[in-house]
Amino acid sequence: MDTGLTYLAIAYSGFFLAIAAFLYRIVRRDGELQAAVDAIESRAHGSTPDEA
Amino acid sequence: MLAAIIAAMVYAPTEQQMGDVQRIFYFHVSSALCAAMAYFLVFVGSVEYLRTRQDRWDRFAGVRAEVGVLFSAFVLFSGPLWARPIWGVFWRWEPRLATMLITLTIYVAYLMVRNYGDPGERTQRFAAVVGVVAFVSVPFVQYSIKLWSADQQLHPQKVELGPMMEQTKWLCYFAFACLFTLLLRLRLNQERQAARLQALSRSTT
Repeated sequence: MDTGLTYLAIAYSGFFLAIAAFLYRIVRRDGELQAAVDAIESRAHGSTPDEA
Repeated sequence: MLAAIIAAMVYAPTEQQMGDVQRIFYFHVSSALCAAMAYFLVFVGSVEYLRTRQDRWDRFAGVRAEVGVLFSAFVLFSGPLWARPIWGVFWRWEPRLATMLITLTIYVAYLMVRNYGDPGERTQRFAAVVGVVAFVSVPFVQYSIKLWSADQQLHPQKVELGPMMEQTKWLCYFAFACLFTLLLRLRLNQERQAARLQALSRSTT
C-alpha cells in the first residue's frame, strides 16, 4: 500500500474515532443525568407518604 | 459529512506532487477553522460572563472550548501525518506548528481550570479570565506564517487549488460547520439539563 494512502487512512480514521469518542462521552453523560433524575424522582415519591 | 468524505476521497483529483496524502488537507484545514471559531466564541462567552455574571455564558464558553480542543487536537494529529511523507519528519518546531501546540495547551489548561476547580462563581470568574487571555494566542496561529520569513518554515503559505479541489474544500467547510453546530448543540443542551437538575436537586433537599 502507498505510504501516502496509509497516512491518509490513519488521519481520517483518527478523526472519526475522536468524533465517536466525543459522542460516546455525551451519551454516557446523558445516562448519568437520567440516573440523577430517576434518583430525585424516587426520593420525591418516597417522601410523599411521610409528608402526608 | 458523507458527501464531504466522498468528495475528499474520490471526487477531488490527486495532487500531482504530494499524491493522495494531500487529501488530508480537506479535513485538516476545516478542523482548524472550526477550532478558531470555537476559540473566538469562548472569548465572546467569557467576556459576556464577566460582564453579566450569568451562568449561561459560562456554559456557552465551556462547551465551545471542549469542541475547540477536539478540532485542534485533530489538526495537530493530521498535520504530522501529512508532514511525514512530504517533509520526511513528523514534526518541526516552526511557527505555525509551535503556536498551534501552545494554543491547544492553553485551552486544555482552561478546561482543567473549569473541571477541577471548586464549582462556583470564583472558578467561573477565573475560567472566564483565562478564556479571554487565551484568545490572544489565536491570531498568532493565524499570522505566524506571515510573521516569520518563508525560508524559515516549510508550512504551506498559500495553497493553489484546481476547481474540483476548491469545490471539495468548500463542501468540507460546510460539512464541518454542520458537525461543529451539532456537537455544540448536543453538549449545550446537556449542560442546560445538568444545571436544571442541579437546581432541582438543591430545591428537593
